[in-house]
Amino acid sequence: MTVREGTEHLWSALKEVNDPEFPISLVDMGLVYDIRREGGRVEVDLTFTAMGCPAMEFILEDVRERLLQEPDVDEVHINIVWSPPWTADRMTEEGREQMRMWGVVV
Amino acid sequence: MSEPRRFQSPDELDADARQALVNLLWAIADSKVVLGRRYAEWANRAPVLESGVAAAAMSQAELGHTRALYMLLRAFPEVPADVTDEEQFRDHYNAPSFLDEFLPTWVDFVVVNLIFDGALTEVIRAMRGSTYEPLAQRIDKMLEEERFHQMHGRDWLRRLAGQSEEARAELEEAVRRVLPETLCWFGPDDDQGALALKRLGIVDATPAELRERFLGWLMPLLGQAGVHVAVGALPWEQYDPVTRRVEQAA
Repeated sequence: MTVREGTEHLWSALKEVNDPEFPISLVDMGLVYDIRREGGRVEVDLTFTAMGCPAMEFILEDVRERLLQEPDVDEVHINIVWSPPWTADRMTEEGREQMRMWGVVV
Repeated sequence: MSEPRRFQSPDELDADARQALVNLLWAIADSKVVLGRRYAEWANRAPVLESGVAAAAMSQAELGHTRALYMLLRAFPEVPADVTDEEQFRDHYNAPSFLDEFLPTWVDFVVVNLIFDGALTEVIRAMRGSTYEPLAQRIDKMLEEERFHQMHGRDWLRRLAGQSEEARAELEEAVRRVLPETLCWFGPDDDQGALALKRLGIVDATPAELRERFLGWLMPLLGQAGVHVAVGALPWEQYDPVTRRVEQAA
C-alpha cells in the first residue's frame, strides 16, 4: 500500500469506514489498494475478501459517502479490482490486533 | 519469440474472436448464476449441517463470479442489457439443461458440483494469463474460491461411493446424466471462434484440449472411487453452439 502525495487525508477518511462483518476499517483490512486524486475527482481501487461479498453495495456506498464529506472532493469513482487477490497478509498490524480481539486468528 | 499482443477492450478484437469471447463469457456467467441457484436450494436440505453451509457459501461465490463476469460483458454493446442485469430473472439462460430444474437428490448435487463446476473451473483456469486483460485480472480470485468447490465435490464423491454398491450405482447414473452435456459444453473441436481465442492467447486451450485436460482430472477420481462410466459418443446433434445446451427431446 503506497499513499500518494495529497491523498493522506483520504486514507484517514477511509479508516473510518468499517467492514460490515467486523468492526475493522477497510484500510486496516487491506481492501483499499490505491487512491488517486486529480483536483476534486478521486479514484479508489478497492477489493473485497470474496467475489460474492454480500455487503459489496453497502461498502461502495459507505466509501463514496465518506469521501464526499471531504471538502476538496467533488466526485468519487470506485474501481473494483480482483488482482492481486486479497489475502490476510494485506491486513495492517492494527487490523490483525483488532481481529484477535474478536477471536479470529490471522 | 515476441510477447503476444494484449487486449484492453472489445474494440481491439477481430469479429470472430469478439463473438467467441462474448459467447464464452455469457455461457460461463449464465451457467454460474443458475448453478448458484441450484446450490442455494440445497442450503437447508443437505445431509449434514456443514454441507448446507458449504452449499450456501458455494452459491454465494458463484453469484459473485457471475457479477464480475456480467460486468465484463457490459463492455460489449452486442450483449443485451437485461442479460447483464443480475437482479433480473430471465426465461432463458445459456446454461446446461440438467440445471433447468431443482437437483432432485444429494447425489445429483454432488455430481454437478464435481463435474459441471469442475468443468467451468477448467475453462477459467485456461484463461489464467489471458491476453484479454480485463478478464485476466479476475481469474486468480475466481480460481482461489473454486478450490473449495472442487474439494467439496471430491470429498463427497468418496464419501458417497464408499457407502455401498447401491450408492455407487446411483452415482454412476447421475454421472451419465451430467457428463455428456458437460463435455459438449466445452464446444466442438472445430469451433472457429474457440480456435481464434486460443490463437490470440485469450484462452490457452482449444475445446478438444480442454476436454482432454478435464477428463484427465475427472476420470481417475471417478475410477478411484469405484464409479465406472464410459465416455461414449457425444450428443452433438442436439447441441446448440450459442447456448451451449444439449436440448433434451420433448
